Amino acid sequence: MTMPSTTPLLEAKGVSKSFTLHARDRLRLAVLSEIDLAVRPGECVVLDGPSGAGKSTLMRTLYGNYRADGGAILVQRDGETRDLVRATPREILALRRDTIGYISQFLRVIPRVPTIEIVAEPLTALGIDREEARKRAASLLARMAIPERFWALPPVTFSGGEQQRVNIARGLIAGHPVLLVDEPTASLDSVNRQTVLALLQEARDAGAAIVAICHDDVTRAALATRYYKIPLRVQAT
Amino acid sequence: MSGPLLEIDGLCKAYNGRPALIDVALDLWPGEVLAIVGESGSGKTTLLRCIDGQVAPERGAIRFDTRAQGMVDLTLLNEARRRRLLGNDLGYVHQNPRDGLRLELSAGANIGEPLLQAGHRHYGRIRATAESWLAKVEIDPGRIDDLPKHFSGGMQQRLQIARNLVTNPRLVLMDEPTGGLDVSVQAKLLDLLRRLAADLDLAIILVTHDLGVARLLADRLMVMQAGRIVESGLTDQVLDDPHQPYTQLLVSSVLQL
Repeated sequence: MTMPSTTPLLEAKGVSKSFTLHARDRLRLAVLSEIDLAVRPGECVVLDGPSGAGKSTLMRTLYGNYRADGGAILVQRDGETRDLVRATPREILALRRDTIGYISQFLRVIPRVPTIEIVAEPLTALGIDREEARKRAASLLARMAIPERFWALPPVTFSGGEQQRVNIARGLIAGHPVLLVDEPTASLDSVNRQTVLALLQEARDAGAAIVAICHDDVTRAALATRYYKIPLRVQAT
Repeated sequence: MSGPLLEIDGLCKAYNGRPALIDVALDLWPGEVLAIVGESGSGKTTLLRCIDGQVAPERGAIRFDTRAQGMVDLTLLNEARRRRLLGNDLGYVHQNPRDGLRLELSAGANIGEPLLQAGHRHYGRIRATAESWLAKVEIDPGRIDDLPKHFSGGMQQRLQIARNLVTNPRLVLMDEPTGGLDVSVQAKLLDLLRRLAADLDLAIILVTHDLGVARLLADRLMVMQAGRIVESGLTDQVLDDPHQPYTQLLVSSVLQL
């Protein structure tokens, strides 16, 4: 594969992240140091490294969920470059609304809200009309093989695999140009895994920049345009 | 949407020499939901009461973007001017719905009264508005003539919210709005608040001790301890990556469900 020469949609430069545990005598855990990672349109970078290497920490830092200690996380939005590390809460919320999507391993939603509303919400947050948003949510749920009779129900009672598909539908519906995906196929059977894989490939081939954590070899191979091994951290003293 | 709706800085308040607020600063934009968490006595409710004018701070500014006259420092206004300039821009939802409702008036009158005070005179239209608000907060409009004391706690709380929102405020202050309710009723109220805030582009400051409520409802979170803001940021940042010792203690004390 040739290296695309376009500007990265997402670029981490010298990103470091540590945690200080005050209850444990201010124990300091350095998890990431000097991370450099650029992801261009149409790329899917799969993170590599053993459990505990910091893959999930990096994902969460790239989303602004964890606050980086140092470095820059540059994101392209409307032809401008934003640095997530220095952005205000309002700017981060705006980036999450239209630029960076994060598909976590677990669905976390307000109880009682119907599945179709949960999936449609990222579109209404962008100002898209509620009817139109529901229509698009319905077609995505259908593609995810969530039976129509479930759409009006809140997902709390769904199986793990169904909840994960609802979560993925919610994460993909707004067509964010940058996608962070944590174990998208972990609790899916092979048919549903194929569906999710196809959707992610479509997003990638349409020009999304994707960073993924994925332990399942079939999905990894089908999705990755390259791998990124998280470097061993320099433990500060 | 040109600037912040509310800007507070340097706010200080003491009760009998005991500090309740120390140099509190925050800003809030239209449509934002801000949760304030912290233990009892940390100053959360005092802060709400200062914004609402129930308590006068000793120092500091509370600037609010009024519909009538743009940015105004509320601490400089007397009661009459405050009422005239604020109009219905600001609402207050009490933890106990009985503190925010008129118990001797019917449900419909509880919603209609703020409209009357705002100068509405057409009885039929006021009643129709009250009916539509009852439906919006999921109370059977057929109960419009019932007294609130015949309602359950959850229904009373939803009625109080309707009474606050009927005049289209820009900011609503809420003190533990889900505090006295069963868990299932809480979920219903959370869903309602979330939808109303989004549909009405309403800013909310929500005081709560329930981190789960804060996570589901609030864009931003502020942690208070002994009258000071010790940490603030995006809700998920503060809860998932707390930096301050007190915030870490607070987050680690929650039972995981």
